[in-house]
Amino acid sequence: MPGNPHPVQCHEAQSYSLWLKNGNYTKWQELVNLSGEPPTSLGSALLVLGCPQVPVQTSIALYLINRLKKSGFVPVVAGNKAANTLLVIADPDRHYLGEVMDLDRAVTMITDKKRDFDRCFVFIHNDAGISYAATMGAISKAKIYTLVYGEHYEDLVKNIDFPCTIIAAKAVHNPLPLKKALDEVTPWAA
Amino acid sequence: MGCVESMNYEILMRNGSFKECREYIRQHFTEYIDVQPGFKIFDIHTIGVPPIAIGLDRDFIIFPYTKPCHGTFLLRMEDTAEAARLRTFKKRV
Repeated sequence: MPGNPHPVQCHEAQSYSLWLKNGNYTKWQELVNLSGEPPTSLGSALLVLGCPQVPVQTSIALYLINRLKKSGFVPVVAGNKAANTLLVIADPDRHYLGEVMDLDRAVTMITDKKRDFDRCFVFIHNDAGISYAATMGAISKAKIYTLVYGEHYEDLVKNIDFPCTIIAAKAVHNPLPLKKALDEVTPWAA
Repeated sequence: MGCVESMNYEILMRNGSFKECREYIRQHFTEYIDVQPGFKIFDIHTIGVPPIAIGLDRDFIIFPYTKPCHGTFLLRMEDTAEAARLRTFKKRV
């Protein structure tokens, strides 16, 4: 792509399309589309949200969705009504969010082998979160990542005894410790 | 998924942990089966850390029910046909 100061992969074209409509990167958009290659995907990623009572969840979920999309993953969010609504309201034009589904429906579809994902990120700040993560590990073929946060994150980590990559930090209102832990693991890497 | 709220149930334990529910069933019911997450009871997929204990007491079924915001509830429901179905799994274990 001659003349492009910021080389991008083809699969990033869709992610950047809304930026490009605003005008600043029109030439970049043309170069990406002219490559002629269809957008490629590294796979799908399911974000399993917990109870949204701890504020960092919504922030980190949007951050993770953004990083996954930039890396070529198709993120899907599954949560209860409150957790999903927090995300949908925060991203009304769906710059970040893609498919959003009810958590129980996601469990049913995976268990019934109607759908599965390549990676699964489970947000954990209470005992129920561990139960959902263990369930995903048992019913899904996805690589499981547990994002453990909240005041008592260390106690929760001690109770995780199933195969998964644990990403943990004491984060309640400030998402930066959990963001830092995520960035160190780079679970969006191919 | 079936809607538990529409069913006739009794709550034996509320806001418990998955370990507490498992231990309660094993300590209070001589008849129980261990199942894996996703196992269907009343058309509900069970959520939990395996093994998930399901208690049986005559026609009553005692099982954990997890909600993201409220932890795990231990529910007791009566259903002759479902109890009989679960006992067939016990024989296979």
